[in-house]
Amino acid sequence: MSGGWSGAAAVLLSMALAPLLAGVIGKTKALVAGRKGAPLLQLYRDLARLAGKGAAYSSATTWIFKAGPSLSLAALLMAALIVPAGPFRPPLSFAGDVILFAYLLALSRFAILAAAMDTGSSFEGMGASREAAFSALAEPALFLVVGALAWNRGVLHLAGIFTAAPEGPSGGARPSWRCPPVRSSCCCWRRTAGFPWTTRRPTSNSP
Amino acid sequence: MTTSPGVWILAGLACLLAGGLLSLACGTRSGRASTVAIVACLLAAGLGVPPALQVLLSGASWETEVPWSMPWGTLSFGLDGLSALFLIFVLVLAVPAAAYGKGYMAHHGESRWTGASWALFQVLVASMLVVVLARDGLLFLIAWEAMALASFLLVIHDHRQPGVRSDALVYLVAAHLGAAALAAMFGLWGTHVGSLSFAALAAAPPGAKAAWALFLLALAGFGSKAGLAPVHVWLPRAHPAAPSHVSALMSGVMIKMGIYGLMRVLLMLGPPRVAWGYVLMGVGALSALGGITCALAQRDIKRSLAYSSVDNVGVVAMAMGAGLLARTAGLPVAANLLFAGAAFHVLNHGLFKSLLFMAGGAAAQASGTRDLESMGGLLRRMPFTGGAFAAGALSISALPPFNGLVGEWLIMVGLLEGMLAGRGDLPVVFLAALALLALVGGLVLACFARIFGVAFLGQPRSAGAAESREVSAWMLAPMVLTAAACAAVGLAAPALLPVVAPAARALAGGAGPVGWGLSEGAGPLAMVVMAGGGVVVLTAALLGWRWALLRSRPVTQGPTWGCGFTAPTARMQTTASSFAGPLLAVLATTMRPVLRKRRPKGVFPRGAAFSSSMPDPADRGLFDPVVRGLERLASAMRPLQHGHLQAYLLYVLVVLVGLLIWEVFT
Repeated sequence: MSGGWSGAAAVLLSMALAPLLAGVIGKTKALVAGRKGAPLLQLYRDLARLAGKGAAYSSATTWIFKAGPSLSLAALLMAALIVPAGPFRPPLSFAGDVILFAYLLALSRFAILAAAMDTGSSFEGMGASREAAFSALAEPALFLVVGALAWNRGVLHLAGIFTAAPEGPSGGARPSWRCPPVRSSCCCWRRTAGFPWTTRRPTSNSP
Repeated sequence: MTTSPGVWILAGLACLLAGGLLSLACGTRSGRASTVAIVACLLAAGLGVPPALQVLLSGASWETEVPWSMPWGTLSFGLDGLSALFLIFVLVLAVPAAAYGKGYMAHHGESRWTGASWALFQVLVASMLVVVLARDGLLFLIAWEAMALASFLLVIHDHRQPGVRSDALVYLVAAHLGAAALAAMFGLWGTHVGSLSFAALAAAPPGAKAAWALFLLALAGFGSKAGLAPVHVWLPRAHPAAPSHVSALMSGVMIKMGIYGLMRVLLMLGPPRVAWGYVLMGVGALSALGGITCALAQRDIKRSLAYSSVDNVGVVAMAMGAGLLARTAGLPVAANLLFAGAAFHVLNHGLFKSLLFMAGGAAAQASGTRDLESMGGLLRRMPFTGGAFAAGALSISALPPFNGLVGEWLIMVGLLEGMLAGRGDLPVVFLAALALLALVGGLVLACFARIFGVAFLGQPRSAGAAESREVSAWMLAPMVLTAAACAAVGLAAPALLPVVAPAARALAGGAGPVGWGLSEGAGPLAMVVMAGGGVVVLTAALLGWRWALLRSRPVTQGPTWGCGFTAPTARMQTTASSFAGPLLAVLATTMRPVLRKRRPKGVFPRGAAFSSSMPDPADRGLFDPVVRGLERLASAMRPLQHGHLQAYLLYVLVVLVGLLIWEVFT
C-alpha cells in the first residue's frame, strides 16, 4: 500500500471518528440556539443500539432499498482510501485520483437517491430531489477548488495537493516541476523520474 | 490473414445488402424478415470486426480503388485507425438493435411494410459502413444521403400515430440541410484541389480563409447530424417517434457518424487553427449544458433520452475542442489524452445509450405509455428490464465500475494535464471546462436518477404500469448482453486503450508518447478500474455481512408511511417534474418555461388546471421565428397562385420580355 500501514490506520481512525464529527455539529447548532443539545457521543450510542436491531422494510421497496446503503457505504469507503489524513499518505494515490474521488461520492449519492425513490413516498422524493440538486451544483465548486490547488502545487493527486511538502521544494505561487512518484507496493510501478502526465515543461515532449 | 482486410469487410457489406433484399422478399412475415436481418448483421460483424481489429492493433492501413462510371467520383475505400474504430462500433452495435427489434416489432402486428422496414434497417447499417470506409467525397455523400433516407423511412414507420409525420419531416429537412452544407464543403474543397478523393484533399491543405469556410461548413453539416446545439432540434423529435430499436441504432450509432465526419475532416484539413478549438469547445459546452437541462424538463422518457444524447455529443465536442487547443499549444500528452477520451466516450455512449433506449422502449411498450408521470413500480414487474436500465443509468452517470467513467476520466485528466502544462489563457479555459464538465456530470446523475426513480421505482401511477409484464426474450437478451458489455468495458478499460489509441494519436498530430503508460497494469487507469472492482467487492461483502446478521433477527414489512394521509395513493408520490423542480429553477433562467394556469374561482371552486412545458430554446429563439418569417413570405406570395392559366402565361411573357431587355442592355 502506498501510504503503508500508517495510511490505512489513518483511514480507519478517520472512519471511527466520523460519528464524533456529527456529534460536534449537533452540539454546536444546539449551543448557538441556546439549547443544551444531545451529548457529543450520542451517535455512537445510536449506532450501537441500531446494530442490535432487526430490519423493517416497506412493502413498496425492492432489492434496491436493501442494497442502497451498502453500495453507498462501499463507495464511501473506497473514497476514504484516496483522501490523505493529516501527514499520512493515503493508501491509494495516483495522478487523477481526485476525479475518481468525486465520482465515488457520486456513486454513493446515486445509491441513496435510488433507495429513497424506491419507497414511493413523497417526502423521500423531495429529499432525493434536493440532494440531487445541491450535489450537482456543488460538483463544479469542488472541481474548481481542487483544480486551482492542483495548478498551484503542480501535481495531480490528492496526496500531493494536500500534504505540506512533497518530495522536494513545495510549490508556492508557481507550480513546482517535481513530480512525486506513485508507490504502490502490490504492483511494480517503475520508479522513474515521474509521470508522463503530471507537470512537464512544454519544451520537452518526452514521456 | 493472407487476404487483405478490406475483402472481408466488403464481404460483410455484401451480406448486409443481400440480407436487405431477402428481407424485402419476406414481405409481411415479420419473424422471417427480422431473423434475416439479425443473421446478416451477425455475419457482417463476424466478417468485419476481426480485420478491423487487426488493422488497429498492427497499425497497418488498407486502401483500394475500384473503377466506377460515376463522373467526378471514384469508388475508393480505405481503413485506417479512425475508420476501423468506427467500423467496429457500427457493426457491433447493429446486432443487439436488430435482435431487440425482432421482439419489439412482434408487438406491432402484421403490416405490409415489415419486410421493407427490415430491408431499410440493413440498408441503414450498410450505408453507415460505407460512410466509415469511403475515401472519396462523392461516395461519402451518396452513402450519407442513403443513411438519411433509410433512417427517415424507418422513423416514419408508425406514421398513423399523431405527430410522427411532422417529426419525421423535420428530421428529413434537417438531414438535407446538413447534407447541403456537406455538399457545399466538398464542392468548395474539390474545386480548390481538383479532385474529390480524400487522399488528394489531405495532400493539399487549403489556405487560411478557405480552411475557415470548410471548417464551418463541416461543423454545420456534421454537427447537425451529431446533434450539436443549436442545430439539434430534429433529435428530440425524431428519436422518440421512431420504433425503439431504430431509436437505439440512431442515437447510439448514427449520430456518431457526425462525430466521425468531423474527425475525418479535421485530419484532412491539416494543421488546425487555435480558434477552431475555441469554437468546438463553445458549441460543445452549449450542447452539453443545454441538452441536459432540457432532458431534465421532459416528461416523455424517450425525449429525455434524446436530449441526453445531445448532452453527450456536446461533451465529445468539448473534448475534441480542448484537444485541438492542446495540439495547437504544443501539448501532445494532453492532446492525446483528450482525443482518446473523446473517442472512448463515443464508444461508451454508443453502448449505454443503446441500452437505455432499449430498456426505456421496453418499459414504454409494457406500460403502454411514454409518459414518465404514468409509469412507476416497473422494477418489481420487469426486473431484468429495470436492472438493465439501472446499469445504463449508472454507466451514463460515469459511475464506477461501469464504462462511462473511463471516457470522462480520460477527458478530465487531459484537461488537468493541459492546465498544468499550458501557458497564457489555456489553464483558465481548461479549468473552466473542467468545472463545466463536472456540473454536467452532476446534472446527468440527477436526470437519470429521476428517470429511473420515477419510472421503475415506487408504486405504479397508472393502470398500464400496474399491468405491465416483462418483455420477451428477444428484447431481454440484447439488453442484458449490452449491460454486461458496459460493465466489461468498464473493468477492462486499460486493455481496450489500443483500440482507441491510433485514432487519438492521429487527431492529436501524430506526436506524443506511445501508450502513455495508461495501458500498464499499475497505471492510473488500472487504479480507477480496480477502485470500481473494489466497490463491487466491498458491496458484496457488506451485503453478505448484513444478511448474516439479519438471519437471526426479526424482519418486518409494512406499508410506506403516508406522511399523515389516511388514504395515500400512488399519485401522491414524487412526480418527474417535481424531482427536477429545484434544479430547473436554478438552471433554467434563460429557458423560460411556459405555464398555463386556470385558477379555481368562486366560493365552491370547480375545475382548475395547470400545465407547464419547456420548449426547446433553439426552437423558440431560432427556428420558430425563421419558419414564421418564411411562412409570412410564402403567404405574401399566395395571391400569385390563383389558378388562372391566362395570368400564368402573362407571367411567363413578362419574365421573357424582361430577360430579353436585360440581355440587350448588358
